Amino acid sequence: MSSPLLTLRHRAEFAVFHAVLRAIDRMPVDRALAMASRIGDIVYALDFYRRGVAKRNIRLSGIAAGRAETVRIARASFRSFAQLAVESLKADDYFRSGRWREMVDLQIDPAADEALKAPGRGAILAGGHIGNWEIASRVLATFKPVVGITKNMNNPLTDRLVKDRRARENFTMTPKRDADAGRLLEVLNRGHVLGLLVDQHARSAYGEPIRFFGRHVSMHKSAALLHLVSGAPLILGCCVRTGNMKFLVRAYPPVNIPRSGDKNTDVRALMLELNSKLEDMVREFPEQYLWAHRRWRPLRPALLAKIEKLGPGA
Amino acid sequence: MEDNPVTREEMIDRLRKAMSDSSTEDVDWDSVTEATEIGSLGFDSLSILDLIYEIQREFKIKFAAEEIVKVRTVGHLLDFLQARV
Repeated sequence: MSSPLLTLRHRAEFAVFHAVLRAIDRMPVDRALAMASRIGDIVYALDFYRRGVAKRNIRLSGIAAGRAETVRIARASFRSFAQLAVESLKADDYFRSGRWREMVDLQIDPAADEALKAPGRGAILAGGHIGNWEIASRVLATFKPVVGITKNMNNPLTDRLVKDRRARENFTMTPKRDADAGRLLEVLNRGHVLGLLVDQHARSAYGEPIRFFGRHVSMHKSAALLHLVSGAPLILGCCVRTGNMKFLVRAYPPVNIPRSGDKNTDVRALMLELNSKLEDMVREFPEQYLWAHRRWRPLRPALLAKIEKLGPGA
Repeated sequence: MEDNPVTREEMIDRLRKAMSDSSTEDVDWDSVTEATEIGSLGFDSLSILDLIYEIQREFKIKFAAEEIVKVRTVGHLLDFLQARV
């Protein structure tokens, strides 16, 4: 607490954050969710930048019929994100008391179910920023241990608080960057599930240009490469909201593509398959997708050159 | 007729190629020796996967990917591979 790196701003942010968490903990669910919706509306009204990103992304995806539909989806997306935060906190009681099935309907493909529950066998669960990915991880953690990847928050105080709140039996986090290069493979080797959100912009040299709703994005290769080198089943899933503290957890059949023997071809085929299924999810539940994330950023020259080399079908 | 055994020098050349194909770091691969720590070559959790894939392809061997991640030096990696080629 006495670190000179902790600025007054960090402490002020932490105080507000901590107070909000305590207030949510004490509030009845329906009231907390109504408050979350209002906060979502306020952020939508005041955060010009993220609102603009969301509306632009919705337009680029082509899923909205017109301007009114774009605005409706964008606003609902902001509300959905605020509700995610509240419901993730409120879900603690359900999971601790073993009553989580009261709030979750499962729609798990039989082959995915077998892969996710097979003792001692690791699996890669890929998802996107749709619905409530926190609840998805916790439901999965009732089958077998789950490891998620996290990025440190800018504020070390709130970062510690969030990590403490997230740390639960059978659900642990590993940092996005770490000196231990083999830790993701070790997760799979221990027979655990590695949860990866595959729809984040890849800044590093490991981004691959893949189409998402017809436009190229820089996508992380991790899930596809891990599947190729480890042989662990790669399963796409999501957890969408169906009402207040009600969710549908869905897992699709394990991704299965014919192997060409060429790494780049196989990695791209796997990534295209993941993106294609993710698009289907987003089309089905557009209001629950995190549209405010800058998915379609300008691509680095190396990626533009790669697209040109791959030709018009890329 | 007996197969010619692959020499250690040939193997390290092929390993240097696999490493340079999978790394995004600016490394003088010719200066990599058996004593070189793999951790010093800039492999991270993703490029190590590339390396494993390249090694499996280059040496046409299959092994559990996690077997290799605890190998610390290039020399130890050569030992690991020689036992399987």
